[in-house]
Amino acid sequence: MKTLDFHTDILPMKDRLFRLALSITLDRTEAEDITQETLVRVWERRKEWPQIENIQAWCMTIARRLALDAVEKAKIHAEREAEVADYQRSAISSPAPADEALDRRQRVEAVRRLISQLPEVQRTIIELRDIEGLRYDEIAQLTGISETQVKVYLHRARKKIREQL
Amino acid sequence: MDYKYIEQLLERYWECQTTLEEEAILRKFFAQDDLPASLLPYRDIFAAEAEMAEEHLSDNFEQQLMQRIGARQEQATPCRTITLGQRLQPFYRAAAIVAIVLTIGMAAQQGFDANEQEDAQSQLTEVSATGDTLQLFTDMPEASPKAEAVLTTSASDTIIIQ
Repeated sequence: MKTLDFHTDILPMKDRLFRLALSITLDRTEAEDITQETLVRVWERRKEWPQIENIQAWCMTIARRLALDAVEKAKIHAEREAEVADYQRSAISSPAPADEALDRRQRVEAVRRLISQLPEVQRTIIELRDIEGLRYDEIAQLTGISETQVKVYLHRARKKIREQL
Repeated sequence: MDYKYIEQLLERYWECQTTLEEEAILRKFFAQDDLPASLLPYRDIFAAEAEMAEEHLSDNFEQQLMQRIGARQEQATPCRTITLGQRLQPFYRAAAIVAIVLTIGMAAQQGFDANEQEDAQSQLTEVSATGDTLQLFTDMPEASPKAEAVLTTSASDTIIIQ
């Protein structure tokens, strides 16, 4: 059995954990705090490391839970829903200008905004699959849903982004 | 240039049927500047995701984290000065317990031995007493004729006196 080291095996995951927290909270400061809290908790539970099969999935699960709790506590979710509603209303009332009217930077920003406005679970799955490159079984383990359901959510998310382009 | 393979991959990508390797091919393809007009709209998706993959923590994050972990470590194991006497206290305790156990054990052993001796003596006394009694009983028939003889003798003497 491989002995894990905090500096060489855990700490390099920090940006990945941060991105996951960011995709859920949509707040850099909050995501940074969650990443720190995650790593402190992982360090405190270091006696459990040898029994853990997939340390990355374990760390990401902790980060995700903390991020979801933070969203719940801060009622960011409610505010975000309002933002999404506003965005959707504005999209209906004033259709997006043609691609050629936007420069590339703005279009990329628009896609990022679209991703950030997806429901939390779809956003997390996009983050885990398309940004972190995790396998479907890893995503299923991490999110606690079946592989089939992961693909369903991913399909909906990609479809929504594609349709909005 | 034939983009049929990419178009096929893209179709499978929307349906979530691509492997991680195929998705990496798509990412690499859409990172190019020279793309056909039909595929241009999709470039922004991959460009946005590539940007998101570059998101990272602030530079002093690791330092702050290690400070926090260091503080937790100190909290978990508070440093205190102890004297040699305090350090050896567990050994003293162990030695005292051993001494008590030995003392009790030896005292118990002595008591046990004394009891055994007493028992042996009382058994011997009983045996000798029983022997005396037996002797007494066994002497009795012999004593009886003697007494009779004495009485007889006395009687005869008396007779003689008379």
